[in-house]
Amino acid sequence: MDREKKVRKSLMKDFLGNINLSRRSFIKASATTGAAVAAGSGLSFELKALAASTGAKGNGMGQWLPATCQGCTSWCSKQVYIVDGRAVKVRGNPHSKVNMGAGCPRSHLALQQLYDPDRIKSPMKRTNPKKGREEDPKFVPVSWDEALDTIADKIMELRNNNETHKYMLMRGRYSYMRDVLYDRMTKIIGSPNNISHSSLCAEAEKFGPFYTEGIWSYRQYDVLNAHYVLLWGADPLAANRQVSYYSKVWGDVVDKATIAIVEPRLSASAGKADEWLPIKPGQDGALAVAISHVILAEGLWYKPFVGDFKDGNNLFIAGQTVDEEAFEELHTNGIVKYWNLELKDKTPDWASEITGIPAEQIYRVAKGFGLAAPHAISWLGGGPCMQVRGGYTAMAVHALNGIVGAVDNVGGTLKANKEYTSKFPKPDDFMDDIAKKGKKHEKIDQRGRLHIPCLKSGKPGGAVITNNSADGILNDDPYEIKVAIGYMNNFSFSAPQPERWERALSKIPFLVHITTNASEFSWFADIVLPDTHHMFEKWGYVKAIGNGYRHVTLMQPIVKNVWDYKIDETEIPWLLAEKLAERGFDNLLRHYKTYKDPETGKEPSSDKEFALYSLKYATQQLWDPAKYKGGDKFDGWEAFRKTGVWNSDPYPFRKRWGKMKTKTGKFEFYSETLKAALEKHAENHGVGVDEVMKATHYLARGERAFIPHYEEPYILGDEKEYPFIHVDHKSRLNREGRSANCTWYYDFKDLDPGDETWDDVAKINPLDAKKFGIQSGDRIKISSPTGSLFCTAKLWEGVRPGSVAKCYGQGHWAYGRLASKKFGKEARGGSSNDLIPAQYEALSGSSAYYAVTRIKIEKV
Amino acid sequence: MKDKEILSVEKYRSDIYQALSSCYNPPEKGISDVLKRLEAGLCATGSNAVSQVVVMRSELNTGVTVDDLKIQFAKLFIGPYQLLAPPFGSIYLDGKHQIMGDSTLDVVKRYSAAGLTVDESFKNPPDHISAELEFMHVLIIEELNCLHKGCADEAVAWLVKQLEFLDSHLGQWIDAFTGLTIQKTQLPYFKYLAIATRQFIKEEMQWLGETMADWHARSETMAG
Repeated sequence: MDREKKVRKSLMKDFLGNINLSRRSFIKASATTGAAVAAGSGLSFELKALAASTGAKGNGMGQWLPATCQGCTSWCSKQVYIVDGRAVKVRGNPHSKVNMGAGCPRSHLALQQLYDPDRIKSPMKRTNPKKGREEDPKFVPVSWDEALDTIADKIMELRNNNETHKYMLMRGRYSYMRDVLYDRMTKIIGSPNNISHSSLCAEAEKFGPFYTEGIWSYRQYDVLNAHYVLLWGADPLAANRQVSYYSKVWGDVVDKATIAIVEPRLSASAGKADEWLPIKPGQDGALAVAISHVILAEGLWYKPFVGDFKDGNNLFIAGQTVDEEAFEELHTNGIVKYWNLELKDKTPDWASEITGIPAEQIYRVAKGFGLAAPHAISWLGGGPCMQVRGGYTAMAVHALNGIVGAVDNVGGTLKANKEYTSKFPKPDDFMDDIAKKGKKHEKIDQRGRLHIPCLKSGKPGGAVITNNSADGILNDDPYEIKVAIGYMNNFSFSAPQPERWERALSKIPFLVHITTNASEFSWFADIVLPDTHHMFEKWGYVKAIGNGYRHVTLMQPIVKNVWDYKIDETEIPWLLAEKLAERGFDNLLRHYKTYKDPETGKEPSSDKEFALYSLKYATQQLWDPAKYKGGDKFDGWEAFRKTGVWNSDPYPFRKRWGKMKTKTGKFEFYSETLKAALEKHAENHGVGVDEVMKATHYLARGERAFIPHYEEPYILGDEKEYPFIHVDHKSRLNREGRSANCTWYYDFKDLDPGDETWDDVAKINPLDAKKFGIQSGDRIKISSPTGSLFCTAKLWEGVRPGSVAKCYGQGHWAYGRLASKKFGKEARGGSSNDLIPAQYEALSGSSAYYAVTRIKIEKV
Repeated sequence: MKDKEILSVEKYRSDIYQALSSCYNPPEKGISDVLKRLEAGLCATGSNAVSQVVVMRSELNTGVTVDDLKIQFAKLFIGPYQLLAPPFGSIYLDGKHQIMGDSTLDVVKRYSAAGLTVDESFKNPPDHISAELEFMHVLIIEELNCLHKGCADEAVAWLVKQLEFLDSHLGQWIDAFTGLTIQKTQLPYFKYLAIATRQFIKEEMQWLGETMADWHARSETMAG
């Protein structure tokens, strides 16, 4: 070897030595060598990674391009600074009237997600047929062709065997392109099983507004005109929704309004509030009815909305029933029934004992809130209602808005403004007999059974009960799931008692996961498909409300894709449709071809065209001047695309008074709407409403089932063995995860009050800690009746004695280099879901996360 | 005669880079042929890395299947979970455990200056090791073309580009990258691939460094 080296060195030395090359001519040569490839040369290359450059070179100049953040469900419109195809920084889109150019920490984390080396880079195939947490999937890369061929074969097997109902689509984070994959594809294949994540998110929060004022949705709040803001487990400066908008204006809100917050821990918003009511977990309903009692007893209800006693004398006297005939209601229904059935005895003294809040404070807050009517907001977050008995708390908290006339009013609580996006073409004509028959089967989440009414929008069995699907799969009840696709979801981490999902996913013979980072869900997949990142790589749109407006903000591919991903909701279903057509089933492809480009009338011929045309199709009425219906006006698609966001007209206050979408058309304290839904559900099962109450863990019987009321919380665990109540909360740095593999998440974790950088702490009141001999920094094990986790103890006065607060987000055992401490073996921190039992607020289908379990702590 | 020998040796250098580049793509059935070419090149240029390649080839003959290689390759260089040995320059050079860093942009500039871009079908960052190795392959081919045409001054300019690229990029992170590969692999095949890669790059840097130093010294003399 040495001889060859010497020869080689000497050869080159001699050669160079013989070159009559001056420094000047060398510099000239250096300047010309770059053109050689493009100009062609004698020896040819066999290139795989590189190619001769033909396009324009980057000039290092950047530009701000429109985008959308889905770091939480605020769905802010953004702009990203792009230099030579690379995303460099993020800011709020100044064209949005919802977030008005504001941002929050989450959007910046998207940059680290985009360029995370642990992202899925190409389709992967499982080579280990055994599934389980201890089984290494042994993934290997495969081509998109091979991956899609495999999936199409599995779907065709179901179709050929007339068992298309055994196909399942699980949806996590989505855009409004969702129906392409979630709805149309599932239906045309022939399955009833499009299962969304929504009940992990907030369904119980929608229950209160729906069964009082007929909106199954999130609200927006006119905070700049409010005089009193009463927050219930909502933390608008940190989490869900419109964090950027509220963060921007909160200084003004603090100046103008009194802010009170009901929450067992000192949240980011509590830190800026005038009143903190550190309630015992689960007792929010007692406080809500006591505040309502005070407002009525003090005569502070808003008479132009609710009405008044006919003789003008306030007969709402503690402990006394009132003759319904004595009151003339205007835009509400059942205020006297509410008083008689629930409120008359619910004094601050009564509530004080239950809630742990001093009666004086309850009275002060109630009176202040009532005096501010109608510019007083009762702001419902997930905490008080995503509890086993939280449905009626949701109603009680929202009913406060009715009492003070804040509903649909200036300085009050508002629904979403009108927007004019279109639904995709209907699938019906493309559903063959197999599909029609398949779709008629019961859904795998068992929604609508006696104990899980899931009364979305008044319809029994209308709401998803996501977490129950795991039990459906495990028990083959109502049948076996054979082929399943999940996208941008991670139920084996994000759902309570996730171990059930690990077993359920292991049981599915063929599972596909579409996602950006391989997660605890992907671990059980047969095929993993790499997804685009919502902020930088995807065509899509989402809608959001705030500041009295609604915006529709676009997601666009604005960076150069580094790896081989495709868009979950459009490109992948199109490619699958092509594969199914190759196998003789072309219904889905024919359906997708009806999504024509509104500008040219051309039908899509590729996945890329389909992704773009379907978006233009859905948003045409926003950007096509010929179809204009309201809000911002554009002169065409390009103008809309460049701005990136459409804004609605301003909010039309008080237009819904007397025209609400309830049975009575009014704001219902006595909910005829809920009564009808419950009676329908009871009738479906041949029982009475009392049996429904019993089956769903509720204590109410008779008429109380139709009014907001207090129910003692249903908390798992014996107090002697499990002395603390678990308080789960969300981070400023995520809402739904996907930040866990970013260093900035850990660098800035102390943005969450009480938390520490690069650690995962359980916050314990020092009084409790002293009793148990626990100090800050102690490694602890927290256990509930259904699971346990390990983390670090943090003594913190910001949590109510008797409860322990822990932020959701860490505790991944997979997901990436940073997310788990020892990949696949040891989690970094602990996941709250390992403590939380799989329980439900069954009337809405919502998973219960709060005041649902007791816990104990051991030093380890 | 000497010129022909130079051309031959330089062609081997280019072949080695090309073969090494292929080794950092997911293993396929033709991997044995790639290793043969790699071994031939390393032999002809007198590289000490040849012994590692011999072991790699023997590994293939002792029951290690292409599927085994694929699984291990994925764990080391693809994922889908945490990458055991990220094959991207920016991970090591920019210190943020992120791809597409400033160093990546510098790589793109160097490709561009040589008339190259990343191929549309190449679904990896521009500073993926297989791209950087392929870039070296191209730079040597360009040098060879100049030699063929008798443009010695331009050939030297391509040699300088080779040295600069190794000095600024691949040579800067090859130790850390191959160190991780050696530490994390459960198949000896990739351990020997890493050692061979590191050995060859080190030899290249030394050889190119010395050669260019000699040339610079001579140029200075001529200029004086």
